[in-house]
Amino acid sequence: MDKIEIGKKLFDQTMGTLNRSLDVRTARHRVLSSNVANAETPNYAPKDLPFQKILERATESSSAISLRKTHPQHFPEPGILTSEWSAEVESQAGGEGVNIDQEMAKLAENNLMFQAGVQSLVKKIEALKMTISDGR
Amino acid sequence: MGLFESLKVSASGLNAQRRAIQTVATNLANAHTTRTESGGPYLRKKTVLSEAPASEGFAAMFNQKLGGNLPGVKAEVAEDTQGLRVVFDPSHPDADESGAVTLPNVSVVEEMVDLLRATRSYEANVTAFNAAKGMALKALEIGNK
Repeated sequence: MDKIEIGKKLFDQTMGTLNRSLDVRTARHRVLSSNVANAETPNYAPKDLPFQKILERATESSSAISLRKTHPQHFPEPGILTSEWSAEVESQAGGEGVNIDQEMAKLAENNLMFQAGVQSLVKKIEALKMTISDGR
Repeated sequence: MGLFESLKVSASGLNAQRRAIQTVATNLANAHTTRTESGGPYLRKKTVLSEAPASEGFAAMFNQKLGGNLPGVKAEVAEDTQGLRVVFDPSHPDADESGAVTLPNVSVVEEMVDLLRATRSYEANVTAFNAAKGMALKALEIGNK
């Protein structure tokens, strides 16, 4: 196996996707905590970040500004910058305002999924370490 | 700014609800006050909540560039001049010639409801705050084993 193959296997899709999913979860938490803080603000329209949509976009490495590769063994560039998420924030105007139960449920779900993402990443690294140390 | 920004947003929520609770306490304490510095009976204070950026100055500008600022919340206190109660009590020192006393427009029941509402909101913000803290701590575990 040549060097490029090893590089691709070590830092494969799983790690990149998990990495980006954690980023999106963090951004979504920010949106949700803003809803909770404004639960009683008159005329406030609750916001949300559609996780699925963002992650799909984040994993398609079609970012407008790409890093220049001067060597075939350079790793692929990381995903999109945070600034591109702000456009995806969905606002539900004209509704009944913030539904606190719903927001807390979303918050808990988002939190758990973040923890799950971290756990998978930890396992992934553990597996790598296990390989490096010859399975000892 | 990731999770630290979330903490600030939740903190603004905690701050606003704490002020709401303080306002309720002031209203309850003065539910029967007939003399104030400005003269006349005590006027009920109301908390008005509005969206406000959670961070200020450089941090706010930086966040704007990074990915838009999501609003925190701020509380302002306004006076309610409606609904003063007039009761007949000639023995009261502040009664007028016809024996009528003007009492504050504080309804104890309403204040208790407001107190509960603010407390629950405060708790919701605490939960959101703890979730962000938990996420940040969990992220520190990556590569720790």
